[in-house]
Amino acid sequence: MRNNPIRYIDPTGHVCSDPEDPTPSCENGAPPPPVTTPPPPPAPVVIINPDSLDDGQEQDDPGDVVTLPVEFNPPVVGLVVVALLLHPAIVLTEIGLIAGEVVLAPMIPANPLVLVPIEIALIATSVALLDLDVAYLSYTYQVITNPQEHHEFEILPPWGFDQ
Amino acid sequence: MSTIYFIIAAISGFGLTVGTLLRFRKRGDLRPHQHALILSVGFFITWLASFFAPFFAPESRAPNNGAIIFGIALAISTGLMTYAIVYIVMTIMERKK
Repeated sequence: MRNNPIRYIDPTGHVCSDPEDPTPSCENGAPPPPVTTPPPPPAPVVIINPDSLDDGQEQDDPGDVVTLPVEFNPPVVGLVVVALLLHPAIVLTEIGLIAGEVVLAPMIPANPLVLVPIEIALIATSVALLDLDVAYLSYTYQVITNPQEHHEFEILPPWGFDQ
Repeated sequence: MSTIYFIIAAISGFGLTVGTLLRFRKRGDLRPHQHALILSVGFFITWLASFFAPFFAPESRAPNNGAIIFGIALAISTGLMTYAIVYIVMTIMERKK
């Protein structure tokens, strides 16, 4: 019966692990040690190249290096200055267009073939100018509030507010 | 789709402004303050409706707080600017008469 492996105790005193260890790693019935997975390979290094003339060919390891150009936003001061000029100019133009529509509207019954297309053109111009105004001011607002990201000038609604 | 919502709101706003001006002009001559008030309120409503209309289109996101504040500020600034411009222009035109 001494060959029973369950009852067998090594007479030399060798044990698999410390009997007082609360987390034995190689006792009978204990869970196997966790399988260690090799770490993932490092991601390719992305270098944002601020100099557009630098082609990045002097890097040590060009195989893993991706060079991306930086897309800058226009300067905020310039955007604000243009906005301060553009917004009143568009409002002034809209007032003129509305005045034209008000003047032409009573004369439509007398000459509808000429005046109706003119009225439609005036309204279309008003809508287009309104869209341009909102689009430019929205773009300026987005550049001012989040200058770290590159913003595209979106001429159509919702003018970049859906991102 | 949001562009269609914007166009409908803008045309409605401009049409409302023109219609209101025509109705008041039929009643008699308008003073500069009345002219400026009608146009400024009309433009305020037009800008406000046109800005927020695309957000009500299907499959479009609701505006965040920044967009809401921006739209209201844009409409208020447009209304105030319209009042100032129309009042100055109409006052100058009245004096020339």
